[in-house]
Amino acid sequence: MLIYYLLSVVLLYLSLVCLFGGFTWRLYLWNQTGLSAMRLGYFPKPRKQIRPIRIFADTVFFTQLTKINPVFWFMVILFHISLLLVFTGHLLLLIPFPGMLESEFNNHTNLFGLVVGTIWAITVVYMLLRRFTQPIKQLSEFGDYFILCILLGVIISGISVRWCGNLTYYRIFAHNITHPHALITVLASSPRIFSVHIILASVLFIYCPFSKLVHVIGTFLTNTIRRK
Amino acid sequence: MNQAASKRISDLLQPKINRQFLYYLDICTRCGICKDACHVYASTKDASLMPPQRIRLLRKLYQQQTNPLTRLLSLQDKNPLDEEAVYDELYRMAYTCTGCRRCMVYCPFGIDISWITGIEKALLVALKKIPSELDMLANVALEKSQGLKGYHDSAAKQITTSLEPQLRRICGQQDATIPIGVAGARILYVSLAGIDSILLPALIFNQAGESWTLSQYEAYNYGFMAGDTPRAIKIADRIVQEAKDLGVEEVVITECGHGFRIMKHLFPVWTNQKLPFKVKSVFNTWNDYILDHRLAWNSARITDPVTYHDPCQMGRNGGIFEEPRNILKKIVPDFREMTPNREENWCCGGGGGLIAQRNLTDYREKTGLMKVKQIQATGAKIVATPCGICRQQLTFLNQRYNLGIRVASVAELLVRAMFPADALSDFYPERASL
Repeated sequence: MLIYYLLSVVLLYLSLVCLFGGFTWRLYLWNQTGLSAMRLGYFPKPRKQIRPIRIFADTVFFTQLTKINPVFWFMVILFHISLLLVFTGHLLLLIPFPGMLESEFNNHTNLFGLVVGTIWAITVVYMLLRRFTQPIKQLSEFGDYFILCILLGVIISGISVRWCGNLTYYRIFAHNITHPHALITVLASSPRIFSVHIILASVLFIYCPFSKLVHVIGTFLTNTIRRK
Repeated sequence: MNQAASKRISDLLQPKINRQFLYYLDICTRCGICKDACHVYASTKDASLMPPQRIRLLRKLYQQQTNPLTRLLSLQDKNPLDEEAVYDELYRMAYTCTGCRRCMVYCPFGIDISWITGIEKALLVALKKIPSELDMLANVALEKSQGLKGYHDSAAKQITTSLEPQLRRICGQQDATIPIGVAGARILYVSLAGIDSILLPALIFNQAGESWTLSQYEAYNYGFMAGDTPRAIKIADRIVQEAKDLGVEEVVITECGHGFRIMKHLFPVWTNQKLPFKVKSVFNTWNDYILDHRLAWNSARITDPVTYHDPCQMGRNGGIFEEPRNILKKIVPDFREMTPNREENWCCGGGGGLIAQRNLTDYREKTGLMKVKQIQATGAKIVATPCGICRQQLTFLNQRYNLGIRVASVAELLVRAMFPADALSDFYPERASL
C-alpha cells in the first residue's frame, strides 16, 4: 500500500513537470519555426483599436458557433465555465475564501462543487457520446476518446472525493505539495478514491502537452492570426 | 507507409513548414464545427471530405517524423499505406477543396484548412502530381508572354477592328478607344481574356473620362490554382513589370476574385516588395465614379430582382464587400441580399481550380447545393457576381438545377443601366433588356 501511495506522489510530480515543461517545450517548438509573412486572416479585418477585443472575444466566447450549432456551443461554454470554477475551487484549497469562516466555506462548496462537478460531467458525457455518432465518429481518433474518458474519471472521482473525505486533509495536501512525506500521509488517511483522483489527473496532465489540449495555450495565438 | 517514403515526403515538406502550419495541425480538436460550414459536406454529407479529413493524412505523415509516440505506433501498423495511395489521397484532399476558407470563419480556433491544403498542393507540385488541366493552362499563360509580340499584334487587331467599333456604336462617342500600352496613363486595367471583360469596362471608363490603358495580360492565374507559387509569381509578375514600364498610378483588376487577391495581398508578400503603384479592384474605381457622379444611368432599365453572390476570393479573402453592393443598390430597383452573406456567404463550389478539372463536373453539381438553396431563397431572377469562375459555376448550377435565373457580371448590369437596350442590341442580341 505504501508503494501505491509513493507511486501516486511520483506520478503527481512527473505530471506537473510534464504539464508545465511540456507546454513550455511546445511553445518553444512553435517559436522555433518562422511565421509566414502572409496575413492569413479573413476579411473584414477589425480596426486596430478593437482588434485585441475581437481576439479575446473569439478565444473566450467563439460566438460564431451559435450560428452553426448552438447546442454544441452551449455545452462547450458550460464545459469551460465548469472547468474554470473547479480550477478556482482547487485554488481556494490554498487560499482561504476572504471574509468567510472555513466551516462556512466548506458547507457552501459542498453543494456548489457537487452542482458544478455534475454539470461538468454531463458536458463531458455529451462530448463523448457525440464522438460515437456519425459523422463525428469518423473524425475522431484514439486521443479524443482517451482524453474524455480520463477527464470523466477525474471529475467523478473528484465529486466522490469531495463527499467522502475531509476537506482539511485536502488543504494539507495542497499546502504541502513539495513535501512527499506529508502527501503520502494524507493519501493514507484519505479515502482510496482520492488516490484514484490524483492518479487520473496526473495521467491527464502528462498527456496534455502531447495532445490537442495544447489548444489551451494555442487558441489565443491562432485567433490572433485570424484577425490579422 | 514505409519509413523511406515517409522520410521522402517529410524532406519535401520541411521547407514549407511554418508556424501557422504547426499551430493548425497541433490545435485542431476535431470538434467538427467546420463540417457544417463547408459547402462540400453540407451539400453532400460525404464524411470523407469534412475539412479536418483534408489535413488528417498530412498530420499523420508529419507526426510520424516528429512525434516519437506516433512513429512507434506507425511501426506497429500491419497495413501501412502504399506510397502511391498516400499521394492519391493527398491529391484528392487538396484538389477538391475550393480554398474558400468558410471553415475558418466558424472554427473556434480560426484554423485555416486551405493553408494546409495549399501546402499539400505545393508538395504535390514538387512530386509533379497536379491536375493536368491546371498544369497546361499555367504553361499556356507563361508561353503567351514568351510570344508576346504575336499575341499583342493579334489582340490589338481584334480590338481595333471589332471591339472599338462596337464601343463607339454603343456609347455614341466616335473618339472612344480601348487604349493599349499607353505610357503615363493613370490606371492599367487588367482584364480577363473574354470580350465582356474588355468591352464593358471600356464603356464605363470612357463615360467616366478615365485615363486608362488595357493590360496585355489577363488577371487569371492558373499557377495559383495549381498551388504552384513560383509559377503564380511569374504569371503575376508580368502585370507588375508592365505597370512599372508604363508608369501607371494604379493597377485596377477586373472582376476576378483570385486575380485581385494575388495582386493586392499575396504578390507583395511572395516577392517581399512594396509595389510602386496602388492595386485596386474595379469596384473601388467604379464605386468612386458613382460617388463622384461621373456616370449616368437609368435604374428603370433593370426590372428583374437581383441578388449578389460574394465570391470567396474577392470577399472573405480579398476584402471587397460593400463596393459592388453600393453599385448594385444604385442601379437596380429590386436588390435582395442572400442569407448569409459577406464573409459568411456560401462558396459556389467552382473555385480552387475545380472548374477546370473535367473529372469534377458531377462533384461541382453536388457540392453546389447549398448555393442553389441560397439563390432560391432570395427569389431573385438575376444573380450578379464579379468572379468569372463563380459565373461559370452558377451558370452550370442554373442548368443542372433548372433555377431559371440569369447570371451576370456587375459590369454587365452597370452597362445595361447606363445604356438603352437598343444601343446594346448588337452586343446582346439574345436578350437586349433585363
